[in-house]
Amino acid sequence: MRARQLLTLLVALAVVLVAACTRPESPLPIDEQEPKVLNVGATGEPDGMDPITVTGAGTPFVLLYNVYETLVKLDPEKRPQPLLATEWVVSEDGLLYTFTLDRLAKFADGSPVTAEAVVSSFQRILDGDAHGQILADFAPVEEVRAVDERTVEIELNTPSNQFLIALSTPSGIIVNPAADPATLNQTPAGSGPYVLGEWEPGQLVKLTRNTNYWGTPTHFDEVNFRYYADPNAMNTAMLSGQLDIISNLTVPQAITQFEDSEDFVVLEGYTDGEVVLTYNHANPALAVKEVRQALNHAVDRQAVVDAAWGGKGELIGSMVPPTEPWYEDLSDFYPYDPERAKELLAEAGYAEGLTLRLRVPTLPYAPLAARSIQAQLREVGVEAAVEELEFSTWLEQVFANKDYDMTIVAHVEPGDLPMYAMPNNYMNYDNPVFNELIAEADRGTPEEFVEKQKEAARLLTEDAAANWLWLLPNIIITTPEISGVQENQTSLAFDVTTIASSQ
Amino acid sequence: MRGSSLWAGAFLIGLVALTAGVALFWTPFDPTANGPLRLAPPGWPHLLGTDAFGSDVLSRLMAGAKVVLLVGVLSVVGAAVVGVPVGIAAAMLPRAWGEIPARLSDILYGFPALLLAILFAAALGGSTWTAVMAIGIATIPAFVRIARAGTLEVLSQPYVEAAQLAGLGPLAIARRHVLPNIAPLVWVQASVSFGIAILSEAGLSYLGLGSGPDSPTWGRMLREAQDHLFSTPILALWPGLAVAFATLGFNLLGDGLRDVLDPRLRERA
Repeated sequence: MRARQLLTLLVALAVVLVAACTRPESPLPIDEQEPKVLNVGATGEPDGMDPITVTGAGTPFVLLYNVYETLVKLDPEKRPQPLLATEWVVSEDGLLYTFTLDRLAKFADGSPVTAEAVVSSFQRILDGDAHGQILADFAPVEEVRAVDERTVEIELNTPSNQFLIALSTPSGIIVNPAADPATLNQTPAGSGPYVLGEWEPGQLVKLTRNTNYWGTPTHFDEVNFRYYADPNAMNTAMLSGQLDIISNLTVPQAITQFEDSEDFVVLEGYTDGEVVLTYNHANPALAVKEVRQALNHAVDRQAVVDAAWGGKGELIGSMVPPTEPWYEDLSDFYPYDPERAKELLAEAGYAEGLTLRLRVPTLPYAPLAARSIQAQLREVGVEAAVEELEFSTWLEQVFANKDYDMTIVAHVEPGDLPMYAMPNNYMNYDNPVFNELIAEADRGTPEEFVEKQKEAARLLTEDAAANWLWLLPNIIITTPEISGVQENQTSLAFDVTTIASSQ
Repeated sequence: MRGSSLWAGAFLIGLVALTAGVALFWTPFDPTANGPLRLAPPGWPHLLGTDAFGSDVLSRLMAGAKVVLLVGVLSVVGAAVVGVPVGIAAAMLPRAWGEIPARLSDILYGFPALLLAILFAAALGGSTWTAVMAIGIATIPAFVRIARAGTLEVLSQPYVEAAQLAGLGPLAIARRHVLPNIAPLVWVQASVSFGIAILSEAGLSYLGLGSGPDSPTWGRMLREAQDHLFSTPILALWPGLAVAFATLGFNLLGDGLRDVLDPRLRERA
């Protein structure tokens, strides 16, 4: 580091001398300053650098909008806004999307973002070289065509309201066609204001300024995402001034040390992370609606949040965060009522009690929530046998093989209500009425979309398809100089393009 | 001064054992029930306060002593039952054959015990029994080595030669001459291993690889206290002290036992 500073100094000195010799009348150059650096603390590390093939949320967190851009981007009210596309037209029947690309847009290597680039990016997904969520997003796509240099047509086989939203997620990133797909997992090739500078797995992802950037220049020259396995270590780094931002505080209990200080600003927003106590509907007891309703009545969710997440987090009653247009407050649908729970269990023929396996991943919230819920269920005669599984084991045994009765996990994908309608979902939930509502919503007009989604969410709640415990809060800590941080985590990205510093 | 470490160790272990014994029948509160008073400071009726769930910390500490002793006893006894005969056999078998168990245990010994335990627990899923197995298997090499070294020494004694000349078989020699003579070494090793087992159990539970979230163990209490390290640091103090005292107790006991049981040291004194 010192060597580099010395070098910078020498270069600066040389420039000054040369400038002084040749053009004594010109003012001294001021562009040889310290680069403006933003240090962001984070916990979920990327597993790779290709958002199309890597499932973890750590990858789009760093790359989306910062390194890769999409045709459209959602504003904080979740309305699509232009990014690489200046405008788009949807045909009357909702089957044909025509996008016009920005004439200025170019990739980091200087080549223009053409219609061909869009076609090749999407064709890669249509060829099946993508992970499940992205393939599901592209299921309605029939064909992608380049009409001319700047016009792209996307033909769908069924009208889909989700489609345009999906194009603003990692599914819709436009990749430089000049890049070799085999190297994308190490070297992303996008059109965003930053390029990947350095990647030290387990510690650091450094983004550096894309000198060819076509849009509004960003404030920082360098952005360092620094990763901490222990959230307390991240807090200490913030307190000692090594970080400018904590992207999400995962020990909400520690919030007090920042709240009481003039040196920090605390933002508390929403995420899309619903922490769900999921029931396996293939279990004979849990297939009975009364049993599920009883379990929902038996859990005091506020007590669970208090114990597991420092009381931070909104109570929700369905798979919808308050930031969605189809949100409805259903958090009081199953009030805490152990007596009612016992009655319902008796009605369902489980008066003598019930034993269920509660298999949870070793993520920060899950074992804590499990301990609290286990004690509460015991009060109504339900014995929850808690088992902790390492996250990869959990993914295999619970998520893939469905070997569980109950589990607890946060679903962080935006707009993930249709998950309950996906065939062969890990909850084994299959409700034809719900499936039809989701399909109708996707086919209908934008107004119908919101209306049907709302109806579907309410149906899930009435059916007690799961117990939605709480919404993970988005707790961001910044220094007072930082501005422009998005309070709500409504996309998978940590968008640094809007962030500035007054220093 | 002599024997003071024995008594100090015995006192600390006695305290842990007594606590565990009492916890079998009675704790002030249900150690796993949620309570209305969250994060209460030490006072009455919660002598050591409550945790984030409103559970009584003292009750959890007492219940944790049960798990600690269970895991400690089972893993160390299991390791000794396997390790000592293997060690004796390694010393008494013809040289080429004896090398095999000796080297195998050396390889096993090369792995840090906790790392080995993590490997097992991760492969088999976390529970009290995998913790017992993992720690037990990681402890075996210590017993093999100590038994083998002790046996080799005993075998070079004239009275063993005399027994062999008298026509005694190897099994009889092992039972009559070797075992009684290496017993003190095994006791000392067991005591030291017990201390390590407690620490390993706490480590595994801390990592979520030991007993489930429902069983209160000291390691898990430490893990849960970590989230509150800045807001309620005292939560980490109690389980930390418990682990420290129990480990210290068994190490002191091991030291004291060696002083008392090792005949050479006794003669010197």
